[in-house]
Amino acid sequence: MATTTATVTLASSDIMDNSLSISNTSTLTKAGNSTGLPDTTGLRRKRITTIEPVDLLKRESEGLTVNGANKLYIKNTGTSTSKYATISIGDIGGTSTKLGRLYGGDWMFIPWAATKGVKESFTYTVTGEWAATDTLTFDGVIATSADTTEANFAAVINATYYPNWTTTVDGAVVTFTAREAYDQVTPLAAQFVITEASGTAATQTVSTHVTDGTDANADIICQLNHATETVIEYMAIYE
Amino acid sequence: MATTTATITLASTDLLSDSLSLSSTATLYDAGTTTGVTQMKMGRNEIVTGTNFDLLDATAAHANKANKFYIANKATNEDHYVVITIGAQVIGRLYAGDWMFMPWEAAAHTQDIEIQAYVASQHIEWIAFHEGETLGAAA
Repeated sequence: MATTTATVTLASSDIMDNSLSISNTSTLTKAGNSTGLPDTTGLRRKRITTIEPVDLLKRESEGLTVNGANKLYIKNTGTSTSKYATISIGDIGGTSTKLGRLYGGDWMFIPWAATKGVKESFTYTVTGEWAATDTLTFDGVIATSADTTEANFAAVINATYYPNWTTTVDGAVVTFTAREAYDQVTPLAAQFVITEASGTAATQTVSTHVTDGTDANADIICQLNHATETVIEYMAIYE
Repeated sequence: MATTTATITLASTDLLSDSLSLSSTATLYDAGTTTGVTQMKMGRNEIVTGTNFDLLDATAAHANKANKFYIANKATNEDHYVVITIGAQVIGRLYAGDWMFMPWEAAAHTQDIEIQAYVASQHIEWIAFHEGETLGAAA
């Protein structure tokens, strides 16, 4: 495995009467053992030109191990001592915690637990009298029934690709699970639209929640206090 | 005013197919100025297991500043670690030998730096660079 070291030096000859000189080197290893951290995002650069918050790193898409010995480096490459980037951890659309300000030239190096929220899940049960050509619209996708068997239509739903949900099926019951963790908008039932082309009495039962989603993803968020183009460099080394 | 610098070097010959050699030095200023940071505090503590402790208290005097802090876990047993938390947000685990350095938005008690040791008691060393703090009158 890789051997990666991180060295910090904090130095000042005049912040106190005596010199400050702190230096430490850490060999970056996996949690609880001496195996080197194997993965990295590589050093990235993001140009930001807005005062709106932007995601630097999303824990889920990077595939980090939750509560691993992951490390994160971020640098504000700007030169202004009055313009800064506020770095936060959390969900850009939900709650987040401000860590602090990186002024021009500032850098940070932190452990990153990369904790995640909970993916919403709920069940959808095909009920009533479905027939061929009846359709169900959800998540912007239309599923069309092929026959009058409820379980068969549930299988059709399960085989349909939904942009924001994955599915499993058991008889006439389809379990939807969100692809990402976030707070689900309720009520869910209103989001399922049945079109009865056959004229029969197709109905449905949608559970409010099986699992209530949360948006506690520990993503890394950056927000400038100005709109002047600023380059943020960052790199995660992780397991 | 004081000149204080923080330098990081990240190095590896085998994490990537080419060598990684990154170095960056920041000069620590008071917020929005080119005045070198003038206040700091430092310490060494033993963190026993079983309790989440306040390591550094945030106060309104620290609001909207360019505060920075450094923590190093001086443990040597590789499975010993401390968890660093700000408010309800877990930042991450510092395993034996690990260190961290980051800016600190320290405006309210919900932004205190908290620390908890796992597996065994561990010693940590820390430094906070800050501004705007005045001592309270003795009771």
